[in-house]
Formats: sequence, structure tokens, C-alpha cells
Amino acid sequence: MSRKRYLFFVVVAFIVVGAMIFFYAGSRVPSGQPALARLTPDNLSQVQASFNAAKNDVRILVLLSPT
Amino acid sequence: MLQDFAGKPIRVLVVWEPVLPTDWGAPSTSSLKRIADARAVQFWDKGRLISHLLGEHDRRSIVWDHVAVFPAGTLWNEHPPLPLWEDGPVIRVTGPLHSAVARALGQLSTRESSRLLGIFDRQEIANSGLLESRNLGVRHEVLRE
Repeated sequence: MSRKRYLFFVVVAFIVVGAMIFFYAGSRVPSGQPALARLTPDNLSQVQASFNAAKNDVRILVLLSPT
Repeated sequence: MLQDFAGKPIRVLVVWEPVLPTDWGAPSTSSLKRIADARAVQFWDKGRLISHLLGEHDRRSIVWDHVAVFPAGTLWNEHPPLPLWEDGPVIRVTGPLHSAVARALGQLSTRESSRLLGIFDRQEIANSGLLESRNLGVRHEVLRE
């Protein structure tokens, strides 16, 4: 394998690993927010509870995909 | 957009759900940072349970990249309530979303004003000395009592 090709693969590997770390490593919410809640059928009512707890506020519900 | 409504009574519920082939796991810290406002609560909905509650029944009906605005006072009982406004994809509806939030906040302030005026009226009847008063400071004192 030529030196050029070796360097190319090293750079690509760095980019892939960097992208994976950027997109998939850790799930820390910004400061001031409660920790990320992981919904299951057993705790789905957490969303309902959060919604109703803020009944005096205007509520915005957003559904997004992580990527 | 939330910065435009700084200090306003708004709660944002963000539900992240796997839809795309690259959605292998929970949202990363960088994804979560996209909604940095302290008034937000974020959820990872791996089974798309909320989407199903909102009507998903097959791949084409997945509810995602979607935003809904609910006025103050709305409660989620047996089923999710009907929103004041909803639309998507989120990036394309920021203008209408802004208007809907402003409208909802407007309704809230109108309702709050009416409620306070009701209190003022009762107080004014009870205390005829205030009938002549146009001083809001005095009115706030009455409220604190």
C-alpha cells in the first residue's frame, strides 16, 4: 500500500470516528433542563405529566428525529 | 425562536424518536443542544409511543418533524388534546409557529387580564374609595391583601 493511500485511509477513519462521536456519543441535555427521559410504555405518562404540570403555560410539543 | 419569547410562560416538550436509518440510538449531546432553552424538557421515545398516540399506524403516518402549540389551560386527559396550531416540517414553519405562539400568549394575557379585572371589580365594590383610583400600584396593593 502506497504512503498516499495509507494516509487517505487514516484521514477517512478519523472523519468517520469523529462523526460517530459527534452524532452518537452521550446524551447530556443543556444546563437548566431535566435529564433526558427515556420513554417506555411504563413511563409514557411522564410526557402527559410534564404537559399537565405546565397547564398555566403555552405548551409547544415537538417531535424530531435525532439525525 | 424561543429567544423571541424570553421570560414568557412557555414549556417546550421535545420528543426525539427514531425515524431515519441513521437514528441508531438516543439523541447525542450535540442534538440535544439544538434546544438549549431552560424551559424545554426532552424525551427519547425509542418506540415512537407518542407518534402512535398521535395517530401513527404505518410507516407513512409517522408523526415526526412536527410541532404543535397548545394554549394555557389545555389538559392532556385520556388522549392528547387538540392543538391550537400544528404543522411541519419544523424548519419550514418557523414563521407560522412564531405567530401561533404569539397568539396563544395573547390569549393567555387576555384571560389573565379578565381574571384580574374580575378581582378588581369585586375589590372596587367592596372598597368604594378605590373607584376613583386609576393607580395600578394601588390596585396591586389591593391584590396582595
